Amino acid sequence: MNDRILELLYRSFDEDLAGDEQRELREALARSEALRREKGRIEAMRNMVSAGGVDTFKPFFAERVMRRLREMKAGRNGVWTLQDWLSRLFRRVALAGAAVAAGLVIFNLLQADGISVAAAFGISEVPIEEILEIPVESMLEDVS
Amino acid sequence: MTEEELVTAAREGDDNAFKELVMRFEPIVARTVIGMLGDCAEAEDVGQETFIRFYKALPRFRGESSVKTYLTRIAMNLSLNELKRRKRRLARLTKKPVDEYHDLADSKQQPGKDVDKERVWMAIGELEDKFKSVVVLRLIDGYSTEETARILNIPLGTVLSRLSRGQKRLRELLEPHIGVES
Repeated sequence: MNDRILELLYRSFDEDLAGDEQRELREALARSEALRREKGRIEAMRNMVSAGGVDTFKPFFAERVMRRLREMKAGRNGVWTLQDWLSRLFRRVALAGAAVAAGLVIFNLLQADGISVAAAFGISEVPIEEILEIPVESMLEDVS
Repeated sequence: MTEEELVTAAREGDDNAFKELVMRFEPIVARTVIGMLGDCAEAEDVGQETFIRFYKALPRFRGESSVKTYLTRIAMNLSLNELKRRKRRLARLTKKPVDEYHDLADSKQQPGKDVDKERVWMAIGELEDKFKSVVVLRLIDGYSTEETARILNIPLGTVLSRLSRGQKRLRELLEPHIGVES
């Protein structure tokens, strides 16, 4: 059984062979018992594979699809509702805000003499005594 | 109701019509998806996703191809994606050859499950994806070679050569189980 004849045999199941190829295969089949057996085995294999198909998923498949569809319509699975858009937008804004805040903290710390919470937030530490030493009159003058 | 009437009704929001389509075409999708992935939980997910994608595509579905062909194309694409995902997962987890994909499926014998079908799934699972897809469409789904080429969007000659090579490999794999009188 040569490779070319075997190739023709396989092809013959799925396509129309050319006239000379058909004749060549027919003659080979008439001559060779082994080739006829091989043809039978290929047919049996194809039948076995064809019978291997499964026509159903588990019971109530359609109900499960419809449930998913309802969930999807309700916006829980795939469709973007206003709430989804807002939460997505908020996440982006929150992340950008956090990045800006972190940048400011680093900047403030670099500008400050020492590391402290007040320095991180850019708060100048004015002692209470210093505030109390300012005369009230001068403050009122400033205001007027 | 005809297929076209059901599609029109479903497009207009009739959920009962869509459910009827799901029930009518479940066998088509099941044969493709289970043929590609084996009878496993992922197959059920891919089957459901196929119909969800179809539902989303309804406004654009103009009936250039039949619902059957359209659904098969979606099911095949999703199955191929799932196989790729499995391979990536398997490659990350183990050093096993990636085509041992049926190990991931619920391939252990289930009571009442046809032994021959198990063998066929295991054998198909051994094929490369490109051979698997043509074998499933042609031999399990029963599409013609021309339809198979259209569904996979590949030339007919490619379908024929893949079919031939795929069948030779299947023939080897199923050899001990082929019941034929010699």
